Amino acid sequence: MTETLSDTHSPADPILDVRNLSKSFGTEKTGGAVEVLKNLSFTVGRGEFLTILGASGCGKTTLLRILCGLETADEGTVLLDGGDITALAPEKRPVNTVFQSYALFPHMTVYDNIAYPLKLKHTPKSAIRRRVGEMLDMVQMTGFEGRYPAALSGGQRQRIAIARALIASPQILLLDEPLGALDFHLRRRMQTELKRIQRALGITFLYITHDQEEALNMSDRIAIMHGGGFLQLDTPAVIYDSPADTRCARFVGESNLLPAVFSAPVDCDLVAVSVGGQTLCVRRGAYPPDAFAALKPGSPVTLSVRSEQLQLCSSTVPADSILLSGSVSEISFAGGVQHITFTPQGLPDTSLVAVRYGMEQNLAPGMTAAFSLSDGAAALCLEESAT
Amino acid sequence: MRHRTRATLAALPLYLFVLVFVLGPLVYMLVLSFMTRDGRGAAAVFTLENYRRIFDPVYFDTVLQSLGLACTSTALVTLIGYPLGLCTAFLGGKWPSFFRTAQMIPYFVNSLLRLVGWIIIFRANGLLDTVLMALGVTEEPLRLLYTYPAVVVGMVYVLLPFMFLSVQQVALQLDRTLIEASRDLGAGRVRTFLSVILPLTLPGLKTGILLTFIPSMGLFFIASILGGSKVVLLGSLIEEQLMRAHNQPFAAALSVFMMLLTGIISLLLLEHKPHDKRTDRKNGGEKSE
Repeated sequence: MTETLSDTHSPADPILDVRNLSKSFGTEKTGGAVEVLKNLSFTVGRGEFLTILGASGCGKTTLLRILCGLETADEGTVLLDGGDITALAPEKRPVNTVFQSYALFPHMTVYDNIAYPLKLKHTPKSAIRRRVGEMLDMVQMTGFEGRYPAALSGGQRQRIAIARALIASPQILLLDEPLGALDFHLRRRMQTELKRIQRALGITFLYITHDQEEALNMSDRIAIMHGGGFLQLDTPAVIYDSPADTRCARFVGESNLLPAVFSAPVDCDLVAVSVGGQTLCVRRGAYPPDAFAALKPGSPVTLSVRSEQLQLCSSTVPADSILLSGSVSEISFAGGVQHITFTPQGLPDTSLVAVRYGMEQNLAPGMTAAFSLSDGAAALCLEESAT
Repeated sequence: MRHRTRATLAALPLYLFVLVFVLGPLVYMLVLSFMTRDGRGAAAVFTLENYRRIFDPVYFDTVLQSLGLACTSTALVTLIGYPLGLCTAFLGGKWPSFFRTAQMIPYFVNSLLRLVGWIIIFRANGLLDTVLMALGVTEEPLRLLYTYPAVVVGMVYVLLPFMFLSVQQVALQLDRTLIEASRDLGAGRVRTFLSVILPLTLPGLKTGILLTFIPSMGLFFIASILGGSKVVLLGSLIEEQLMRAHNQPFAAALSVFMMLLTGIISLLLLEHKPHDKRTDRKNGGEKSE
């Protein structure tokens, strides 16, 4: 799976180099071995904010535990800044983790919690005092030194956990769904906070989440993880515009999947397809090379179309576009943005969602509406059953 | 108001019970301790002689020996029970409850009988001697029965579960992620134990010490069975004075003294229990953002 990744933005001098990581759990006694990580390889650049996005069970937590040393892989190597840390104990790795449950020591004050990593290094007291002050300032919790974790709210504990994990200036910070327990507004604020902290310190962040919005919001690159491997590893923009397959398309943004028929390649980047009889140019996107080579004229393909690319129009087709008209099944209004769900004629099993800005209410379910889709807007997307 | 009187009436039998069966005997004993011995009984002549006698070297030695035995037993129980409780808790899965059950099963047999089992092991040419001599470790019987060490073994044997269970229970509640976080932040296994595991299991340890030390002051039947007349504890002394020397006032005074001693030590041990830091709101408990 990883060999066919279109990884167009691989860093040249990576701080983390993971090679052929494999891990299985279970034995014959417990019902057979389960492969949690399958021959996973990837690199992370210095100062990069990489998010690993995946649903529960995809292996992301296992990957994180192997990287921080709490778990050992069955096969593969982990290189940190050129050095092999695969067999290194967790306390010896310059990698720190922010756990999902924060794991603050309940019997220590906020000050002692944050100072813990430095006390382990026998840092002089005056230096510890200064550093703890800096950390508290960074997470905007100055004055909380004497409190105990039990007296803090979720968001506050979060920030102390982050401060504690960063005080020893690790080479990589691992974050395991740190914002999961926070409410919506707090989560949004913390996303901005984390990004700000990361930029200010320049530390490489490896962020694990199942929340696509978080991933899109914060990351330099996103790795979509599924079944123990990465489906796609690229910048948010590329994944959004050119998802490698339908699973990736569903993971990021509203996924409009349009069935089409392959005609012929146009140039290195574009291909011609037929949608309900109309010819359209679409981008090749992140379509896997080996699958692309197998395409013949007449092969059925799937297109990924983003909602904003379906433009509401009158019945005349603009140049270099096709027209998709159909019966509107649903309209939802959400503060100035309308999501119009419709079924295009000739494709009764397909449901597409278009967006329109403004609150004009001249469309209703049952009415026919026409949308245009321009050349080069859609992208080829591999049809994969969501196993 | 009717509810109040109803409640009081309902509790009345309980009050009477406590009065008759608990307070009554205590008051009787207290009064008796200030009376003078008269033949096989007691005369209503106020005296402090009984209390003074406690401090005679002959008798005070017994007090010291009881305290010493209690300390030794508690120390050994802690040394064995604390690691045992921790390890079985951290094994995970079904192991903790397995060990709990394993510990409990002997208790289905009366402790008196189990101690008799130790007699069989300890007596000259008993089980222990047979094994040691067969292995060539000793040539002559050890004669461990009716010695101080035998009593200590008996005490530890009977009291171990209290420490083990307290520690295991607290250890089971320990959040493992805390241990992982400690390792992740740079602490080795030893440091993690000292900084995280020990402080957080200390409440279990303290409870265990309380549940071991107090009984060990009073379980004189262990000393009787395994120590015979060679090891005399406060409890044995009281029994002797009451049943054989027929000195009721002195026995009463010894009992009151023992109760006071145990009470004071309990209070001291309880005082040293740490605050539940989770409810420490000294520095403000407002949870605003």
